[in-house]
Amino acid sequence: MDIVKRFISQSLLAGKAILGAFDLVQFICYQVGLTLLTLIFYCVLAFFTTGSYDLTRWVVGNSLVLCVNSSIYSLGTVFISDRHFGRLRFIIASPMNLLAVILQKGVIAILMSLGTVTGGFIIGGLIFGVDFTGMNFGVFLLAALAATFSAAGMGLMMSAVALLTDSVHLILNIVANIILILSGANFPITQLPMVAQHMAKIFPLHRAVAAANMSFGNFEYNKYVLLIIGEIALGICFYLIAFVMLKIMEKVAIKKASLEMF
Amino acid sequence: MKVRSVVISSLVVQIKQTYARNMYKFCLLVSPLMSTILLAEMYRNSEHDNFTSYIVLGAGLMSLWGCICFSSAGDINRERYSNTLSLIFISPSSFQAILFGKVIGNTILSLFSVLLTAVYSFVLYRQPIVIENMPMFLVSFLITIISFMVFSIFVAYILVLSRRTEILMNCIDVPLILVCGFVFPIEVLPMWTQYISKAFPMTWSIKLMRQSIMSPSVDGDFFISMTYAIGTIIVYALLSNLLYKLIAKRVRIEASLEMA
Repeated sequence: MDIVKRFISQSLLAGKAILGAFDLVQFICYQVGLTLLTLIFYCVLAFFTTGSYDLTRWVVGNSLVLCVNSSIYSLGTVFISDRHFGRLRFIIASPMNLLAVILQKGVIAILMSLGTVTGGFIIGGLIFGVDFTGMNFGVFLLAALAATFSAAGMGLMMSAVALLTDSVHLILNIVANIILILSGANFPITQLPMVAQHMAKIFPLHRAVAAANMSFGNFEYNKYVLLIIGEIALGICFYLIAFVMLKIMEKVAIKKASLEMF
Repeated sequence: MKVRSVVISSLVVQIKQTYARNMYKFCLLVSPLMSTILLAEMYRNSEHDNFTSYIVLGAGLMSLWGCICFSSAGDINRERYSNTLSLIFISPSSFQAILFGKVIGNTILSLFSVLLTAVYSFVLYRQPIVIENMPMFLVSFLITIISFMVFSIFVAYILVLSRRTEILMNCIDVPLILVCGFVFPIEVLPMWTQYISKAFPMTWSIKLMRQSIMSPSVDGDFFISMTYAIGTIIVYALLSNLLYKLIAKRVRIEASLEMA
């Protein structure tokens, strides 16, 4: 029971660390206003390029992409912040399981991302006149959960990578942009060269966006399940890579008696 | 020290410091590539098939704005973190001249992103860059650069007042691209949004650039847009000057630059 309590309290603490930089007005501006405007931007662009009034596909896709903000940008710097605030040495030195540390940091980010995605989807849908009748909300929600899970995994993996470099923002921006392009939220990735299409399979959101689009018809059970399992499996891979990387860094840090690895 | 020397020294230091930042290298070198791919793929099969107007210009302006926004605006934050903001504010050299030099330096360096966008577009998509009215394009490009500079000085002054610069500069990046019609004409937006768009000098200057790319002739509408572009630039320059005076007065009374 103590373990569960500790897990929850540490998750809340990790959430506070992410949200601590904002007061209410800034939270509304950055997490709500900016994410919504980003969604609106891509949907208006889609309207202009296609001339279509049915922007459902873009609202669905871009609302999922919104999780990049919390998952990649916020989570991608958590271990850097830990180092900055002097907490990393305790994490490395403590006997606590590193995988638990990673998961604790992911929980709040996943919940925040899920809230952003769902809110963005509903508000975006209302703005762009998406017809919600006949929509399977469960199908969308499960896809959104899978998307936020894998994106948070990638964020944490990036956070581990960030400990090896002083160019964390450069890397996070490149990753976020690649996710945006390869997600298929704004255009079918079949338009891209084969190499990029294969690359899309190892980046988050590609499968989740395809799955979420099934919430408005063309629902194929087998295909949907495969996409969701694929997205979650990808997420698990990211968490495991983050774990292995941190384990290696832990060993190196203990051996060299230093956490400054770059 | 002469104002010109201050501006030039500030400009040179700024270019060196800015290019040394990895995040800036992303804005300068990688962001144009990402924007080009995204826009080119979204515009593929579109009836708006003017590649130069929508993809090269759009991606170029997005990258240019990203560079200017995250450097000129972010510099205030960096000065504050380095504990040098108060020093440059009270130094005998004018703060306005120092900031102006910084903005010019950033703009000169950031122009490279526009050039790079054209190169990426040509290499990746093999589309020729066609400009129907080159003299007017050059004039409108100059007006666009000035409008970016004047607006970023205005934003930088506002950010002097806040300690949340990083959040604020993130908050102005995408909205400006949306509202000023960087990648699509503002006529696509609802009417009430268009009124907001028209308050920014970039909206008018980008309209001029798009017109000169797409049309060989110059009509009355072109000169009206040019008048509005120059008019709004003057308004922002005056507002920036007024804002500086208000900030300088308040800083001296309260003896602090940490006002938020």
